[in-house]
Amino acid sequence: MTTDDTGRMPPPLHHSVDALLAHERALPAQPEMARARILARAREALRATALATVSPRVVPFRVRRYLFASAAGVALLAGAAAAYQMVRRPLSPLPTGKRAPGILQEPPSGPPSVEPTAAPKPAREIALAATTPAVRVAPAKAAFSGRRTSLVARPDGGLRELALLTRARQSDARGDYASVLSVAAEHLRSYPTGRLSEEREVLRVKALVGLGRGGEARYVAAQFRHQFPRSVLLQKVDDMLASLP
Amino acid sequence: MSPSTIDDSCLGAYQRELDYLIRTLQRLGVNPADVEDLAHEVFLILRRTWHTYDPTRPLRPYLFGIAFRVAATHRRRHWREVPFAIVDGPDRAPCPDQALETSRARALALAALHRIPVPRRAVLVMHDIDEIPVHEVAATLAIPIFTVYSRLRKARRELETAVAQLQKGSVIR
Repeated sequence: MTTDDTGRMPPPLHHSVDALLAHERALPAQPEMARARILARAREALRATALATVSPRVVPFRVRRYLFASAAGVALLAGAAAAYQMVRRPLSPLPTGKRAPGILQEPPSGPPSVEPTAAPKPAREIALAATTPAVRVAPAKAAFSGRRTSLVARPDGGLRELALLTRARQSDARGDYASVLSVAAEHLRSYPTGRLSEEREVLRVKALVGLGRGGEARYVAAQFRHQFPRSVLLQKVDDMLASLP
Repeated sequence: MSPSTIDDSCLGAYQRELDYLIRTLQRLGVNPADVEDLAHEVFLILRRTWHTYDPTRPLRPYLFGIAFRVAATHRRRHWREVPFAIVDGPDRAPCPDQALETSRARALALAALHRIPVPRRAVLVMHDIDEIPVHEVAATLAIPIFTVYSRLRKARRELETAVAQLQKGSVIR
């Protein structure tokens, strides 16, 4: 104890209390049974720890630092590449008639002749649905078909795409398969990866079959099977092909 | 140093200081029914931190630091619990007069200690009972040295008051 300590040290205990603490300073021995029990528990814990411990591979800190830096660099590059893809894709022109490879796609400037003449009419929609029930594809079903659809919400909520397909269905109902092919081609140009592309392809097969162009129908059907291997409309397409001579 | 060597040295130290550890836990107010469990917790922590212990320094302050924190955690966790039917078994060993006197003195000291709040009690126990230097107490409890002095001053006053009250015939806990 230093001299400074002596100055700060509080006054000593009363001698009777100090004598009491002297008894407390002598440690009472624990009963042998309790002692053995406690030590056995400690040994058991050590044994369990030894069994549970898998010696880890010791990697030097320097190596770990390089590994971490490499991983961070790779992650950074991947993120930059993904961001570049997202920015660049919409600017590159899409080849006509092919599926867009990117996930982002700008909505088309708009087919010039669609909107004024093809506004959806609910009553007629219902009637058309009754005439062509097999080719109506719910969006939920399309989601299971494994295709990629545009992640960008279209400003028109998909009404223009629906209008095109409605025209195709109307032509199909009339038996005007040439018109069906024309509208389907227009749809393909405008919405190569649209939500209704699965239904469009089925209409194309149906129109080609109706026109007796079996070779083309089989080709389009093969493409359809490749693009939508889990489509619920595959059976319908097979039935159409089966009807070919 | 291999793990088994560390285990052996840690277990050996624990075995040597077991009486001290048990008594320390009792002084810190741990319920007798929980003493063994907390001693085991102290051992597990001791084993986990054994590589940080400097063997050139005395073990008791180090052990006290662990026991103090374990007891404080236990108290925080269980302060709401109401124990029941915990009765110390009678000591069946032969009890000569001197041993009886010692036993009474210890019981009185322990009861008086329990009347002191734990932060001050820890300082008093470390310095006045375990005879650990003040700077070591400060380092172990992670408090400034002046706090140790002030706590010690107040704890001594409280201890004297408690002993006086208990000796006057108050109920011993």
